[in-house]
Amino acid sequence: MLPLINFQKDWLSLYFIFIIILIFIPVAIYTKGYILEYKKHYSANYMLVLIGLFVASMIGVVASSNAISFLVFWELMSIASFFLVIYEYMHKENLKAGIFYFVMTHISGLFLMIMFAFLYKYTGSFDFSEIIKFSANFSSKQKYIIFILALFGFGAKMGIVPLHAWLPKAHPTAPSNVSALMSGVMLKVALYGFIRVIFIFLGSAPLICGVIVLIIGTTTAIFSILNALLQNNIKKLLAYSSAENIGLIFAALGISMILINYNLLMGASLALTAALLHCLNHAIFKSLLFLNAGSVLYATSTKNMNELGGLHKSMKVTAICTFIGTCAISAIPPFNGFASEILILRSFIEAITMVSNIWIIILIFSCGIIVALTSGAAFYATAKSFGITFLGKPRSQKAEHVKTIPRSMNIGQIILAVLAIITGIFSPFIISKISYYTNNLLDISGKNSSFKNETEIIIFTMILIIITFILYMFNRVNSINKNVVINDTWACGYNSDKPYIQYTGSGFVQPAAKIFGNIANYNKKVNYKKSINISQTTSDIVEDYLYKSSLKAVNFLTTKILKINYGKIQLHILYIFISLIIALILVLKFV
Amino acid sequence: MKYNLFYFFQSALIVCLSPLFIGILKKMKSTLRGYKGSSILQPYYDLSKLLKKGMVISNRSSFITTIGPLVILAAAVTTTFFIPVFYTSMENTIGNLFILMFAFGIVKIFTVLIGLDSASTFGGMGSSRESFISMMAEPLIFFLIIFLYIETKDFNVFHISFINSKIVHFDTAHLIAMVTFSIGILAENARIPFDNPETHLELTMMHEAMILDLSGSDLAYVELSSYIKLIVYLIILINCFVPIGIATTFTATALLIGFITFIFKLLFCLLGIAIIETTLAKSRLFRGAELFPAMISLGIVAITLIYIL
Amino acid sequence: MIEALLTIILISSIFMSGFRRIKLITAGFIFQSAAIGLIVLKLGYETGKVDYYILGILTIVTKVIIIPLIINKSVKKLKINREMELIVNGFVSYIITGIGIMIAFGILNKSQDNFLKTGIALFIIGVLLMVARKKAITQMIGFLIFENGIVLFETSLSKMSLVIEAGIVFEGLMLALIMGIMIFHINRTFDSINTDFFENLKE
Repeated sequence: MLPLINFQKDWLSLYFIFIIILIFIPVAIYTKGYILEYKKHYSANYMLVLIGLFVASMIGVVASSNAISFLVFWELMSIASFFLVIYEYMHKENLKAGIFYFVMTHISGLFLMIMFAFLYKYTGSFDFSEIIKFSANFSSKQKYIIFILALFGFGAKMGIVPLHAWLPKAHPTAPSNVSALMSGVMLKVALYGFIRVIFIFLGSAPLICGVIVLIIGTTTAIFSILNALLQNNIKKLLAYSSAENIGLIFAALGISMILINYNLLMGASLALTAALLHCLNHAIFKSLLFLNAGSVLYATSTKNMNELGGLHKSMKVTAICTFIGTCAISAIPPFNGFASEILILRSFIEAITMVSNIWIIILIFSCGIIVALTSGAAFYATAKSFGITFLGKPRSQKAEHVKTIPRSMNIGQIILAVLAIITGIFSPFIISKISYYTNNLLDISGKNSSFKNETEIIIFTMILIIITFILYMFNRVNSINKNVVINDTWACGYNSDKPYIQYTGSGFVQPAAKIFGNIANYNKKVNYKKSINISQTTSDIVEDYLYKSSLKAVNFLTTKILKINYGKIQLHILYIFISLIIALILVLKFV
Repeated sequence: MKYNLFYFFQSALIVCLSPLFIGILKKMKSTLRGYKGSSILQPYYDLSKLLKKGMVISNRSSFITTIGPLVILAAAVTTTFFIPVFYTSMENTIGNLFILMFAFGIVKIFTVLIGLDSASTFGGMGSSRESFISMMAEPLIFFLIIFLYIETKDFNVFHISFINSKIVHFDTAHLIAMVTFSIGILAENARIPFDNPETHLELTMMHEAMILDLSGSDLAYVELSSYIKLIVYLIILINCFVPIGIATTFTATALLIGFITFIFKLLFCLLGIAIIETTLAKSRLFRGAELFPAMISLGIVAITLIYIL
Repeated sequence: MIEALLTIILISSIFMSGFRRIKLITAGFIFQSAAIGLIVLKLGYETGKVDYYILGILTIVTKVIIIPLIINKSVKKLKINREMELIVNGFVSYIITGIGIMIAFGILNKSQDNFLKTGIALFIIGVLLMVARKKAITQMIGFLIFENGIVLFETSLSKMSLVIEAGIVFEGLMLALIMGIMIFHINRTFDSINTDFFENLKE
């Protein structure tokens, strides 16, 4: 029976296709200018074809309505993104990062194949609409198995702890427009898969699954943002910050799963709406920030924050767009990050008052406090990223000689910045639209009282604009006869006008490094042999302890297994025969 | 969404009177220390002096310093429209606690970026310490919102003060939450033990370091916004935790009683701040930061008390 | 009234877990013991039994007056007044206290008795001070807090015997006296009361 590639018109698929296309248009406009940097060494057509293939396969994943086409498009997406990550193949370490990413994405593909095989076994069909009809009949044990497989499969693609180590390697090495697509859109496609499997196929999951999702989400958020604070490479900071936001969305999904289990469907709908809204908002502002990092890289050819500074004079449009992106990610009203952040916090608070089991209340309360800490730390990290890169004086030669940026790159950034403002101000309408669909999903009828009074943000913005205008007029009138002198910075009279008296990026986060340094393996060494030299290094502790020891175990096993391999061809034919017979026996027994 | 015109009058009153309250605070501090001190109206004279002067702008500053002080003052004035002062009611009106707390984020981000904008060491130092302290103070604010929601099941400040004004007997969880929030007020407004608002020495500056390079009318705007921010935080503390006597009906006697009790409570809070500033010293950055997990533990005790005892 | 006193006990214990100066730790201990004494006196006023009155007065006399005198005399002789290095630093000890109280209240959610839960919270803080500090004086105060916790724990039991309670209180007093003398001798032999140097006794 040939699996036909059906496309479904489900609202969830349409919402994610909307996100993909919304981000793709500004990135495509940006690529037109950005490709000029690569024209000399690499092939431009190659990148354009691969980006087209990448976006088409993502749309295919989200729109497919049976398991076979889902997996085919998933593979296509993985391969296209792998080739895009190793686009700059002339630097050898990019290849290593690319191969790491390739292995992780195929591990996720493997788990997904096993999961769909199990779904076929339980329900007898590959088609999504038929699987949904079976959703009431899953037994508890079957739900556990599907949940674990979905967690590993989609989690390895999303970047949750402990499967996140590829994110800070792969996203910085890709070209910036590809990073914007990967960070903004590809992670959301994995989230779409997770939501479809858990909420639509399974309906409700056991309580322990929701608790696991909440704990993993909160751990990912706090771990990633504390690592992001201590980075000096702009794109690595943004990659860790993506992982933190994905952790936040995951925690909101966990709360929704817990509340569905207790049949508190109003709160579950609120949490699910918060998660979906944050998907849209994060896609917009993270793509914006990555495109800005790409512009900085194009203009100055360095990613290290400690060598930049004072770029606001030479890159005006980029500076304003980065400022808007920084405000959006730090949840400043009236930009879009604010709307989704308060929805997520509200879902935590309302869940505390609705649940009656004391341990669940303690868990949600502790996770809520940690989520509040991560939003404060996100402000710290992105204020560092914007302030050190764009403000102040240039800290090295690279920041002084700046190439002009092509107009198409600026236009792409401006479109995303305007989108960030619009989705922020008009967030009540978006929320009411999404909540209509989540209420339908969870079968709540009647009015939704969780979402009243959301139009306050529009009133707040209007009042803010009116008062700013009044003050601006007052300022104009006041400064008619006043003397405005432009001179060097005063700095209490201690100014020697050298660029190195400013704070560096590492100095800016020194208080946090002192207290939280252990999470990121922060090491500071001072050498004073010939000249005084400080080196500060961080590394990912999950990668050090978990990955390297498992790789050592695998190496050990392979040296043992290698002894079976003699190199004689007859022995290999015998092995093939034996494995064929075993496979036949297994198939006959289980089908 | 109704908005009573009287609320507008209350808020405009706060904007005009906040330098007066800061002047009263400074007078209390000087009386406790035993010298005569400046007059109560001195902040008004300072602000008008600054508005009359010209400005020196650094040649390294960007659009942040150009539009920053204006937006900071606009955000501070906007928040005064979202709180009740001495009259409240249960109408469907603006005043969401989340918007209020995050609107101070506008002030925070612009101040931090103005600090980095001036390309001096002091600016970076102030921004770094201020971001660190407010990163640790975020869970305190979140805890406050949780506590008020558990008590009153509402996010609107007007409704919370209306509901809490019916309480006559304060249980201990309430008092613990009040203590926790007052430490949060001290942290966010750069008061002792986190920052000394009077000195201009490198060791003891946080807020002053960030605005070191502003002058003239820019400095006047930022100073006024920091006065308004302190008064607004104190009004939130008073009206959410001890709103006894606030006017809930629109009659003349109720309004008069509300106004008098409000002035009395605000003066009491200012006296508390003055005593703290006179007796304690600014603590080192990391010792001050240790106060935050202590407050979180207190907060945990408050929440368990509300649930269990 | 009893609720407010229990809250004073909890607040003072949370603050004590992070202080470094011995005067402040002693002040917290005084608050705590005074609150416990007042609770016992109030219970005596409510039930009318003489046992409670005697116990309350005993607690106040020993733990609020005599033991802080002993501690202050030892501190003056030793010339130390604060603890610089902690095994578990201030940040983490506050968090451990908070989480410990939360988990203790969660486990004992079913029982309605408040004294039980506060007693167990005091246990946690006493053990924390004993285990996570280096100077012997702070460890002694930790043990005394543990004793306070036992007193509270026992007032929640329905059948209370004066003899046991008085025995506990006197034991605490004797302990304080002995520790005061011992610390003086330890200081004279080793020139410090930092327990790191006790490891030298291994050889």
